[in-house]
Amino acid sequence: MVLSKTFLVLPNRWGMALPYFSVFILALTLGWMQFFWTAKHHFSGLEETKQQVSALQSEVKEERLKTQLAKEEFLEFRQDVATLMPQALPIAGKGEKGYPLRNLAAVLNPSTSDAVRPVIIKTLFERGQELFRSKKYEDANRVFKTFVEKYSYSEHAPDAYFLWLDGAFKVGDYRQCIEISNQMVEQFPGTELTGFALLRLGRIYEMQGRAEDAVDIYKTVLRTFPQRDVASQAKASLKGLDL
Amino acid sequence: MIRLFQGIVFLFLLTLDLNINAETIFYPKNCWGKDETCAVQNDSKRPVTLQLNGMQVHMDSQAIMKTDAKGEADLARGTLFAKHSEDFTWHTPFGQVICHACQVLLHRDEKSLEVNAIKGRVTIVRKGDGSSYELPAGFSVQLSAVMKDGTANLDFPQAAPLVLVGKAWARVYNGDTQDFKKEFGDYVKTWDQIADLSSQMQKEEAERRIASDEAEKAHAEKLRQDRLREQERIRQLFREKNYLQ
Repeated sequence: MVLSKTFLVLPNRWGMALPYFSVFILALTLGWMQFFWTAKHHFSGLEETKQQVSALQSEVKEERLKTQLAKEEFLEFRQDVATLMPQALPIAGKGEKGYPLRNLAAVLNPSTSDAVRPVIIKTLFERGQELFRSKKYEDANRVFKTFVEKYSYSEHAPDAYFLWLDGAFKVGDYRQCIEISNQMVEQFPGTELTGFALLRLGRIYEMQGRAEDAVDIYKTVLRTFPQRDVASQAKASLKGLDL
Repeated sequence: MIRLFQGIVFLFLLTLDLNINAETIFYPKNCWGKDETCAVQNDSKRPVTLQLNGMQVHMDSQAIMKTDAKGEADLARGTLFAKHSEDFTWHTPFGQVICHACQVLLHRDEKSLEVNAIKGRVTIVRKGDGSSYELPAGFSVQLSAVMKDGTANLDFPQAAPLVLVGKAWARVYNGDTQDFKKEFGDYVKTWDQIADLSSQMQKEEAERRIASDEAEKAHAEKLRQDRLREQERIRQLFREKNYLQ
């Protein structure tokens, strides 16, 4: 009755009532839809799953943050170790026992690994020296040959050449001795060891019966190398030849 | 009638599932201002502002910072703008940035930390080195990994790249545009003053390096000539003795 009075009975009011009616129907439809979706969500368990997914996503994010923080701590630790390397490597990074330390230094960062190279060079050189001292001349010669081929720029290169020359002399390979002397003269003309190498060459000449050539060599060494040890040995060799 | 429509629209909006990606992750949970050790990540796409004991930090998207028990903080990733009313130390694996009531814009990636002093006094202490280096406002410097000499690499400070700093600062600025314009204007004035100083410093450094390089080259050349003379003398003898001539 009321409804008909409001919307239908009064024809002169239809112009006003129709929009109200439409809005009412729209609100009713939306209300039902809302009710329908809420009920559907509630009974389908979708909300619960969404909440679980959201909680898991938060956990993942937190784990990622933790990983990032752990990485940062590790980086800091690496940097701390890297600051200690310049002092530690020369002391504890030598030989076989120093391998773990050298290995550690190598992974700190590329620039730090440069610091390890001198230790590797030194280790190889020391191995050659050890073999030489044990009179395993052929093995020592192989090590020194490798050394001068790989690390010719090393500060130990003249020593390696000289020990190689001496090793070759010991095994009677005079041709090799002359070759090594030649390389030493070319590469390290001013070093004391080249002086000793030339003295060894003089000795080879003596053994080959080329006394005059040996005298020339000794005299040149005496003139060219001011180092006391070389000079005194050259003098002694000359004296020996005079006798 | 209008009210009725508004009511319906309001009801409709309530039902929408808006996924606004605005999240700051704290580890441990809700630790900011409560725990000494607190890690924060801005996981949203917009900057986040945090305040604590005279410190105001504006973190850019995805930036990560962590405070520690010593009262210092580490920027582990991303960009942040920090305002300090007291002395504060920013600590990173490459060294420390000590802020004496200053404003600083920091950018951190895996391999380096970029420090832009905006206002006040900033001091840099690199890892493995006890000395501290002043970074005046307007200057910028990069601090990176520890080198083979055991100290972190600290670049030569230079006038900050104005446009890049301006963009980064604007991105994290927490205030209205007018305030930013004013603050950035002040920064540009400071920058103008130090730009000449910076270029002068760069010039002096370049000249010093050139001079030292030239002296080194001259010395090396002299040694080379001496060595060549000696070598030739001894080579001659060697050839004679081995019948190579």
